[in-house]
Amino acid sequence: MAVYSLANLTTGTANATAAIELRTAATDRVSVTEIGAFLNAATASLIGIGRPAAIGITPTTPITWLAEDPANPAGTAQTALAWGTGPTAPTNFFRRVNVPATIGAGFVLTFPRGLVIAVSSSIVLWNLQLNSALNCHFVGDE
Amino acid sequence: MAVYSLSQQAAAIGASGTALWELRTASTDRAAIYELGLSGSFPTTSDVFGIGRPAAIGITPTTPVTWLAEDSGASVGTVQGALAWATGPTVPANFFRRIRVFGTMIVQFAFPRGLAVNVSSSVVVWTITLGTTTTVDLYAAGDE
Repeated sequence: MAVYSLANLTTGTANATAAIELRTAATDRVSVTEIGAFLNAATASLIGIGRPAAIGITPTTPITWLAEDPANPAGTAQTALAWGTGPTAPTNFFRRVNVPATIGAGFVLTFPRGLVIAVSSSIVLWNLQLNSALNCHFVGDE
Repeated sequence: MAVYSLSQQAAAIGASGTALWELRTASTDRAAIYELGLSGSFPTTSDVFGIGRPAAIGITPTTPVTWLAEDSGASVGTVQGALAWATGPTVPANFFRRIRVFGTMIVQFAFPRGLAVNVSSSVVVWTITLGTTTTVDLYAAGDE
């Protein structure tokens, strides 16, 4: 197991859509240990973290997360900010956070024993209302 | 392994798309960064910073400062912090962390298992977008 992470600036802010999706490949499970997000605009935001009912289809220019030790192999999990067909809403959420309308306000949530994502699956930060864009990051093992 | 840390003050944020601070390893020792933070009073809404590995390390840093052993019984460190260069580091392809700051803020990012830096390499705090030039205090802690 090696540590990987990646930061993105999200673009989708509409209510009831995914802001960002962390997607696993068909070869590797992932254990997420930290998720952070900070507002990019002064818009009060309500954000949920959950497993989408269905993974997004045809992600647009996904980005592979980065090994925190350059001696480790390249990761396989990727983030996506847009899709041909977006992820569908999680039934329930692991976490919900209400963030006040201040640029830079946000949170870092930890999952000390890992929030596990099966192969070919994903976790999303979900816009539970019209939100700010987010400077956000995922940290985890694969 | 011994613990080292260093803080430096950037008198002014440089232009968008430039390094604000670089932590540079020597050719002899890898490093693992456990914590990296910055603080300041940011009077506009547009200062955006990222933490990443530059595509190319900075060349000829100006008066780099060696990080400090947190145990005075440990050997002198080899990692150095730099705020200016003859040729600055080049932009990371992607960032491990990013944040947009506004008002008086303290930002601390932890890497409990270490953000590793190869020998003769670096990690930078990168000014993704400059708002207003202001003073920023930075620090990092890690092992080598």
